[in-house]
This record gives sequence, C-alpha cells and structure tokens, in this order.
Amino acid sequence: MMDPDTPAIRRRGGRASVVAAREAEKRPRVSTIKYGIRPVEAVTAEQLERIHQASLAILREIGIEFRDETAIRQWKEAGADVQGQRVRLDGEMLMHLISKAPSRFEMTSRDPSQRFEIAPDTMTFGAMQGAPNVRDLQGVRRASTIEDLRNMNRLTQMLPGFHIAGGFTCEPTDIAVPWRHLHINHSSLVETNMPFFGLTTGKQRAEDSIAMGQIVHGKDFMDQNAVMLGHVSGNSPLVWDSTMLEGLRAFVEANQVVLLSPFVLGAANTPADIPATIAQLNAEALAALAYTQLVRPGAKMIYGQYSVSVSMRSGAPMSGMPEVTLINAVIGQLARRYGLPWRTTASQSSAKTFDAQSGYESAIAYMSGASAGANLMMHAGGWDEAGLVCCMAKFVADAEQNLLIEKYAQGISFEHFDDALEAVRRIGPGGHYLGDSFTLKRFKDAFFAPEILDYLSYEQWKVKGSKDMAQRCREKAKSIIASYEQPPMDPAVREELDAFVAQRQEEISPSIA
Amino acid sequence: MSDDEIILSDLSDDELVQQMHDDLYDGLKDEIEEGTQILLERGWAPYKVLTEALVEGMRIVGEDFRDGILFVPEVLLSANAMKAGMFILRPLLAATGAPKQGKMVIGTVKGDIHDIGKNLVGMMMEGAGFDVIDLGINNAVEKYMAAIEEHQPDIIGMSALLTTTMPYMKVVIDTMKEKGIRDDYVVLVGGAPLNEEFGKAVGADAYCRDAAVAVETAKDFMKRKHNVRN
Ligand code: B12
Repeated sequence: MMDPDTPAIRRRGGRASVVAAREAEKRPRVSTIKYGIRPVEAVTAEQLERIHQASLAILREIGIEFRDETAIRQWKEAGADVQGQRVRLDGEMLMHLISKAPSRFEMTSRDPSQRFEIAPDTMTFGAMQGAPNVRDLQGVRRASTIEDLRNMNRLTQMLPGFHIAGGFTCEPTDIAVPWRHLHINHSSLVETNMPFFGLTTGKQRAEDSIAMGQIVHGKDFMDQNAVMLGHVSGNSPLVWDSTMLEGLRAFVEANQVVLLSPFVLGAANTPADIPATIAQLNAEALAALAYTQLVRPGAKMIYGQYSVSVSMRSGAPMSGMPEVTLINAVIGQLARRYGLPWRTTASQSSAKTFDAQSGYESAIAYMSGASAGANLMMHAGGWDEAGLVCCMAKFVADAEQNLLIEKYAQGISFEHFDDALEAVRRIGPGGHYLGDSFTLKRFKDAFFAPEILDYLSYEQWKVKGSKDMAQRCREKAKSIIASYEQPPMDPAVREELDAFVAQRQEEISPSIA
Repeated sequence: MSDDEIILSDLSDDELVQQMHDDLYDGLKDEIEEGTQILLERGWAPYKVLTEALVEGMRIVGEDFRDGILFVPEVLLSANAMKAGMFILRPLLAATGAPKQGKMVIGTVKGDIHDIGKNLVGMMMEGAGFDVIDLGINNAVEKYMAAIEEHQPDIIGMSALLTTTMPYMKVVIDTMKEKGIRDDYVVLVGGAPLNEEFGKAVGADAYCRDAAVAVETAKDFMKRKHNVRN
C-alpha cells in the first residue's frame, strides 16, 4: 500500500498543532489573484475592430447626453462638439483621454494586510449590493433592516473569498431614506476593515461617504490610497445623468475608484442584436471613462457594465443567458484593447428561492466572467431575484464559489510536473496514489476541497440531518455571525464617526426621528 | 519542527504515551516502533501498550478523520505507523494470551473491481488494531473459503459497488451456511449501493455505511464475543 521510499515524515506536534495549523491554512482573505488561464475570445480581431469603430461612430455622429451642467461646461472647455446636453466626441480625443487612465492600481484599507491590485490580469471579488430584501437566517424573505446589513458585513468580513465589502449589500429599510446612507457607510466602516463601496447617488451622499471614509482612514491617507469605490451607472441608451455624475466627481476628486457601468437590458434599452448592443454599451462606457479623465487625469477607474437580456414575456431581466456570456467575452476583449480593468456581474440569478435556478444561473455567470478574464467580479455573493433579494444562505455558498473560481482563474502550474511524473513511475500499473509521498506533499493544494458543497454518501448525509444546501449554508452563516469579532478601531475615531452621523442627521432633517 | 529532537527514552511513561499519540497522529512509523519497544522494556504488558498507546492514539485519528480535519493520505500514514507497532506486539500478545483485537478477512466480491472503499475499510481496521487479510478484488466464494480455512478470522468483510455483484454476497454466506460455519464468524458487508435491508436479506450480521462505522461495528462484535467467552 505505502511506497517504501516515503521521505522522512516529520513531527508536526500531533493533534493540537495540526488542528491549529489547519485553521491557519485557510487562505488569507485578501491578496491579488493573478489570471493564469487564457481568456475566451468570442469574436475575431476584425470583428472587434468593427464593434470599436461602431462605438466611435455612435459617439461622433449620434453623440451622448450628459444631463449635468458641470459636465457640459467641462466638455465645452475640452473642445467637444456640444449642443444642449448632447455631446459629440471624436475618436481621437476620446482615446487620448482614456489613455491617461492607469491600467493597474492598488486598493487597501485601514488594515494594511488588505492590499490587492485591480488590473487587466487580476481578479477581485465584491459582495452584492442594493437588495431591499433579505432571505434571512430562517430562510424567510422580508424587507431588510440595519441589523441584516450589519450581519451581511460581518459575513463579508469573516468569509474568505471577498476583497471588497458591498456597502449596501442589503438596504436598511428601517432607516429613513435621507439618513440611510450614513448608516450604510457606518456599518461598512465599523463591521469590516475592508475596502468598500460608498454611495454615489447624488452629491451629498457621495460627499458624506467620502467624509466618513476620511474620518476612519485619514484624509492624507486617502489622498494617496484608494480604499473606496463609487459605482456610477449609466441610463442606457446614451445618457449619463447628473445624480450619478455628481457622485462620480466626489469620488474621483478624493482619489477614490469609480466603476462606470452602462446598464444593458438587452432588447429593451439596446437593440435586439448582440454586436450592436455591445457597440452601444461600449460607446456609453467610453464616454464616461473619458469624462472621468477629464475631471481628473489619472483617475482610477474600472470599465463597468451590467448586462442581462429581457424576457419578452414580462419585461423582467434574465441572467445566466447565453447572450450575456457572449457579451462578457467581447467586453473582456475590448477592455484589454483599451488597457483597462473591467467588471462583470459574477453571481446573478433571478430565482425566488435558493434553488436549482439560482445555482445554474450563478454558476454560468461566474464561469462566463472568469473565462472572459473579468477583473472585478461584482455582486459575487448573495444575489437572487435579479438583485431584489440578498440571500444569506447563497452568500455563504457564493463565498466558497469565489475561492473555487479563483483557483480556476489562476490556471495550471507546472511547478510540480516533473516530481509528479516521478510518482507515476513509482506507482506503475494497478497501484494507487493515496499513500504516495507526492500525494502526501501535494494533496491539500492540488485539488480544491470545498466545505459547503456536500460529498458525503446518502447515509452519512442522512445521519447529519438530511440538510440541503440552503440549510447547511444558513447554519454556517449563523455560526460565523456568532463567532464574529469587530475589527479594532481607535475609540476616538469611532466617536468622531458616530458624531458625524448624528450631526449630519440633524443637518439633513432633524424631524425624521 | 524543533520537536524532532525529542528523545523518547527520556520521557516519563505518561509523557511517552502522550508523545506516541502525537506521533501516530503525525504518521511516524519509526517513532512508534521505538516508543513501543521502550514501553515494553519498561515492563509494560503488551496489551497495555496496545490499548493505551496505540489504539487510543488511533481513536483520536479516527475522530479527526470523521470530522474532516485529517485526510485520507494522512490516515493511511497513521495506520501504517500503527501497523508497525502491532507487528512488534502481535507475537507478544499471543504469548501472553491477551484478549485479541480481532482478525478480519476482507475482499471485493466476484465480478467487481471497485476497491477504494474496501481499502479504506481495511486501513481503518488495521488502524484500530485488527489484523487484516486483504483478498483484493474479484473474489470467488472459493477464495473466501480458503482464506477462512487458512487465517481463522473473526470477521469476514465483503465489498460490492455494483448492483450486479451485490447478490454474490449471498452466495458466500449461503456456502458458509452449507458448510455449517456461518455462525462461527461475523459477516460485515458494505459498498455504496448497499443498505441495511440488503445486509439483512443476504444474511450478513451487519451492513456498514462507511469505514468509521465498520470499525465501531467490528469492535462491538468483538466485545460481545469476549463477553460470551468470559
Ligand atoms: C471509482 C469508481 C469506479 C472505478 C473503481 C476504481 C477502483 N480502484 O476502485 C472504475 C473506473 C474501475 C469503475 C468501474 C466500473 N464502474 Co464504477 N464507480 C466508481 C465510483 C465513481 C466511486 C466508487 C468509490 O470508490 N467511492 C469511494 C469509496 C470511499 O466509497 P465506497 O466504495 O462506497 O466505500 C465506502 C462504504 O461503502 C463502505 N464500504 C465499502 N466496502 C465495504 C466493505 C465492508 C466489509 C464494509 C464493512 C464497508 C464497506 O466503506 C467505504 C469507506 O467509507 C462509483 C459511484 C459512487 N458514488 O459510488 C461508480 C459506480 C459504483 N460504478 C458503476 C459502474 C456501472 C461501473 C462499471 C460497470 C462501468 C463500466 N461500464 O465500465 C465498471 C465496473 C467494473 C467492475 N467490473 O467492477 C456504477 C454502478 C451502477 C450500478 N447500478 O451498479 C456506479 C454507481 C456509478 C454510476 N452511477 O454509473 N468504477
């Protein structure tokens, strides 16, 4: 059974040490993930060029609306052809502006061990955002509260698999809207010590977000380091509006990262055709990317896009569809051509329960983003009902998928190839590798070992309570939340942060309480 | 790790037994052989060495395997270390008339070449101190009978992974009945497509869903056997 030349096995210190070591072996949460696989390309170089040229033609001939006075003024000063709110851009000016953007940049936080690079050859995971409902720890769907958001942030902080906290992973609907953003940022900053999404809907919210980030990290630190992201969505077709552009400017002026996402509802706000949809989406993205560089040359930005097709039966967005996979592949090709990191929606589903549809749609979304070489895997945790629900169980399952996808993206290593071939010689025909020295050395890293996906026999599973995936995930979520410890924060900083929230509430609308 | 410098013979009995538990856990064959020798030289009864140092150590290994802390290749190493200790103790145990841990003949039945599960069971049984005679795969009834003859085991273990080969277990058990030896042995059966009812239907003493249950069940039967004898 054993190969006779197992190399000297050394004392590890028995059970106590091994159990401790197994805990510590768990991957540290934050590090740069480098792609090792070659991205899937859905179109040829000539086809890509056609799409690119079509985008330039759209911006040159049709133009795009910037429904924002400041932006219009800035475009005029820059020499663009501006009529009313319509801005027509020529390709040269556009590409010149975009060339000022950094291809790669770091994000970090008040915990210096959290440091990773966002670049065209790296992969980053962020928790979901924006759900007004949760599927809670009992599996019940209901409006989400601030306590739910805190729990989501606790999970984000504790689970390996996330680089970026979602900000409003679910909405604290029990807090009045004018005050809500303050509490969302407060939870991101207190429950996690990770880079996080601030709020961009309007000038005031964006500026409050930045101010709160600066209380915790220091203004000087944030002038030098990116710790927050602002998500700026476009109104397809061909409109960028004031609310979002104000948010964009607040983030960019504070040296924080912006993610610019045209929002494709295929056949509803883009043509019912894949390459033309991409050409329009790309035109929208390029215009916003160029504008960002106009606001601050060298600003850190990510080529965004949210793509779903639309059910012609109901108008509802559909994820996991083949067209979206194709769009991802082409956006990847375009973003690499422009030398910019880009974002996909990693784990989206429209399912009403954490069921097979949820799993299928999410798995396809993950693979389509990863195989296309996406650099920000956004909404990679919890997303169901097309974003209307944050499912706590799915969040735990997705966190594990993030690790699995990370391993896929890293590709194949030949580091141990020769040693491994030696094992083939040692074992020869008919033996097995379970006791071989090479297996012993490598088994832990060579193949992924999930904890949430279940590989027990039926009877073992039954003995453990016949628990389906959702139930196992809910239990794991409960135990993580129970063992959660808040990351340390200087009490004086905490006091200042709390005081800021109180003061801003007062200024915004004292009557709400 | 610096514990490599531990001199086993410098340890007190209690410390040494603790260290052997750790060394079994870490799959250290040479160290287990040495520890076994030292305890014997200090006048420990072979049976006490077996139960307190080795079997207890493997119990911890088994638990952590069940709980997903240890992995198959590591348990294989531990079982190998255990086996090395057993190799020293076996003749002494026989000479001192100590209660036997038990002996098992195990094999995959005729027509079936699946052996991963059977190997795991064999390994865990050895780890628990049983003598295991592995007949390999594709075993006709004659092979089982010859092995029974030759090794005089306490337990016969049969493995099958195919619905087409499962019924062959009954052939073996029926042959044992015909020969009037069925009740002299404990028959354990296992394999993914089997279940409790099938085990009963073919006339086995027990069906075991996995290696851990196989060890518990085997130990249980051995206890009963000794009670009957006493
Ligand atoms: C690996 C495998 C193979 C490998 C086996 C390699 C090897 N060295 O063992 C190979 C590729 C050779 C193989 C071949 C075939 N296989 Co096959 N194989 C499997 C597979 C995927 C896993 C089995 C396994 O190793 N499990 C892991 C071990 C650890 O689990 P285990 O065996 O159940 O053992 C545990 C318990 O059952 C128990 N136990 C087991 N034995 C014993 C014995 C005792 C005494 C006790 C107490 C306990 C006990 O303890 C073990 C440890 O916890 C199963 C599917 C499955 N999920 O089981 C199919 C499966 C068993 N195979 C199947 C088939 C059809 C075949 C082939 C006929 C395919 C073909 N057409 O060629 C051939 C048959 C060859 C033959 N004549 O036997 C079918 C059986 C279907 C059926 N209804 O019978 C299965 C179910 C897959 C499927 N759905 O098609 N197979």
